[in-house]
Amino acid sequence: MITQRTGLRLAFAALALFSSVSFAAAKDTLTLGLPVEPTGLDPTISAPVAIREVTWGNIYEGLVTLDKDGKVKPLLATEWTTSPDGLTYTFKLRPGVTFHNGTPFDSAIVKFSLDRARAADSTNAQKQFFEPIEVIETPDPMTAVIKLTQPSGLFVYHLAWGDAVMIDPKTVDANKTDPVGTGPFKFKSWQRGNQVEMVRNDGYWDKGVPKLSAVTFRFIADAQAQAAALRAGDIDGFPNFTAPELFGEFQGDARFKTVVGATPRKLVAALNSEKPPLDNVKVRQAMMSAIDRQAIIDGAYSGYGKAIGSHFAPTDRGYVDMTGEIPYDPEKAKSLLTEAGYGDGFTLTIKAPQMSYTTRASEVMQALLAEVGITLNIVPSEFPAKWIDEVFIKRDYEMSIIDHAEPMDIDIYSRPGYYFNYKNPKFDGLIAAADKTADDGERDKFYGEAQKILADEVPALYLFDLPRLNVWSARLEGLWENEPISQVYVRDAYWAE
Amino acid sequence: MLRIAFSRLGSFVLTLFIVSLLIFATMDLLPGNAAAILLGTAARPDTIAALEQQLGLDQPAYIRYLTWIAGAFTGDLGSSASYGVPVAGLIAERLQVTLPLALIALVIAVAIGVGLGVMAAARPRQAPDRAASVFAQVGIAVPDFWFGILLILLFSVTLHWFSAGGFPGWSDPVAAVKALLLPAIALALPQAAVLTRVTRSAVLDVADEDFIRTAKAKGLTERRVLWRHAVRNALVPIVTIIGLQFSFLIAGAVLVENVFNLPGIGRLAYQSLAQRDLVVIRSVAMFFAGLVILVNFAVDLAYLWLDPRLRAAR
Repeated sequence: MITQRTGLRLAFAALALFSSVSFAAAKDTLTLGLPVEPTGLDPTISAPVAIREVTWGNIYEGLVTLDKDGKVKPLLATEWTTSPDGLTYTFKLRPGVTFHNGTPFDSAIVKFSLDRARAADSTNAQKQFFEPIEVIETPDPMTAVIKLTQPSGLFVYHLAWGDAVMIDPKTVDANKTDPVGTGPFKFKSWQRGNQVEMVRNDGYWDKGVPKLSAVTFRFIADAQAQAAALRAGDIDGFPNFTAPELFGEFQGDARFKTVVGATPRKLVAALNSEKPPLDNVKVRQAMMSAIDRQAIIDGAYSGYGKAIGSHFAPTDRGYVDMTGEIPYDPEKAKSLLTEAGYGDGFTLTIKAPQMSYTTRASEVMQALLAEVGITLNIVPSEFPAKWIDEVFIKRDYEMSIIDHAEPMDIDIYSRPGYYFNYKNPKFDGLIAAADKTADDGERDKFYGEAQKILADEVPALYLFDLPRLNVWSARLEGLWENEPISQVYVRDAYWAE
Repeated sequence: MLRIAFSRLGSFVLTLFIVSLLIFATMDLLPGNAAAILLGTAARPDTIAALEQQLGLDQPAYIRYLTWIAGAFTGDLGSSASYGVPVAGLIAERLQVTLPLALIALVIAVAIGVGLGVMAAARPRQAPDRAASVFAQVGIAVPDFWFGILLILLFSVTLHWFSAGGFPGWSDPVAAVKALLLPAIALALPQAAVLTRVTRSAVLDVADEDFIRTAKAKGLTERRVLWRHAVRNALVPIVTIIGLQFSFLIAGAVLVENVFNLPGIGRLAYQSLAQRDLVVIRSVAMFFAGLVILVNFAVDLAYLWLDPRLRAAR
């Protein structure tokens, strides 16, 4: 028995030792939690959002950037001019910029980075952004002239994306594991499965920033573990908290600041326009009438989120509220079904990814559609692997549900072979026109009409804009609440006194 | 004994070969491929094809199998499609978390399980036995990840004695062991419960044997009879269960690693399966299989050592 007691005493002594944590005086480091670990750290060779969250604006920078409202701002280019025909862009580059490894930034870098993104063997996830480029000229080290084969209205906007960041030719092969950019933070280490560490780039071109000396991104997938890490003080914040049902617990807690921000992530339930009866527009309209968007927001995301009526997010430039086009009206849904010849209802299968919000939204839709006589069977489809294979590539589905994370991506409905199987020449014409115009007001108008067509013809059920649930320490300042593009932008973050 | 050991080794190698074929075939049949996943919902078919070529996914299956097996002998298991680093290093990194975690959990499980089991068997149907039986009931009924959540709520969120998860690395061994302690306890409790029951019944089974009565008649103390004679002879079933449990602890760590956010091999397996990073997942699966077979092999050898009668049998 003595041994047992000694053992206990030892255990308590050890616990007491562990619990004596020391606190540093003035804090200038930051540890943020993220839900998903990135797959590699090079946003120019693959698509995952997590890569952008860690690197966009922190490690890598592009010619231009977006501000927190989604407006294009100069970054490595200080200014640019567009020729009247919209075919020639002349960028003046920022002098005195170097990569973390000392390579100077100049027009040759611009040419290399963009030529690489559009090359035949490029694996850039947004290769089509660079397709209109005809040639990139470098009249002098601080000037880059990009000539297009056809006008492209969103060309400069797309240059702000992670897919278009500037890359040093010398580190192309290493960037996936040891990223080198021109950004305010330098990559320090990546402990796979756990965290990425970055330290201040003392040679950053914008003197005075960043204010923090080091930033760590820790990857915590499990929602309970996210909440526990916040409450235990292991991390200073979680800018993209993934458990809406636990968010409320932080709202009353004085240690934390909680903000519900907006994102470009649109939760939409695709209706395969080639599969009967979904090829009948009245059937699709009936289904939209049967959907009470607020019930889905409540059920799938604990009431956070903003209803949308078309494939445009409130954070996108040119957004028009289309929720009034086909509001919740079960009686109208029934009469539309009768008109379409499905007065007795029909049975439909939804392939739903395993994420909690897509599963819950499917279940709420199942109940709502049952009210108007439509039987919805829910079949799980593992995301991303199986979903991309069977729904996205093979288009072997009737109905599905996913959030589309890219901002300003309404053009996907005009892409041939895209998984909605939606075809409308008038819509395609509007997208082409919007793409060609260099005039922002004009483009907003085209996009407005395009939004209305989708809202009326319902190639997908437009449900809601996913919120960005920010939880961070009450003293932390300078992070973005909204998400005009996938980001966890820490350049301007600092600790208040 | 050597001959038996060698024949076991032969079947060990053959099993590994069959398992490698099975793993490769099942992984190859899974829908989805790494290139399409990495390029997301904006990618066009020609971009996906370009990445497939870069990753070597366009080669025929038998070439990819042979490359894998040939590589395994030289320690080159290929590179992860998503992380872009060598698989061997990735697995080695993760084992530094999972192996110590499983070992600590095993020690805790054996200490509690065998201790409680023997205590219960020494005084059947009395208070200690009842207490052990309640512990065993609860331990078996409550899953390990739930214990984990409870431990985090108590020791991390409320008392702030431990961090709620994560792993600081082995450069600071005290911090590393501290990070593994709560998850090891969570992992160990259900196994300790199973072991308590097995130990209790194994010891009770031999308690009525003649040699126990003889030992008592010789005038040995009760403690000596219990440990030297009863427990020693009950060891074969106990060791069998411990062997099984070690495999469970390694494989079952995936949930606990998730709750405690530990960068262990279980989470690597889960992540690479979700990403269809087949180069990683098949080597991880092979590692799990090899480990289970190896532990069984070790348990077989342990029988021979524990029970001289088995040695004489051949």
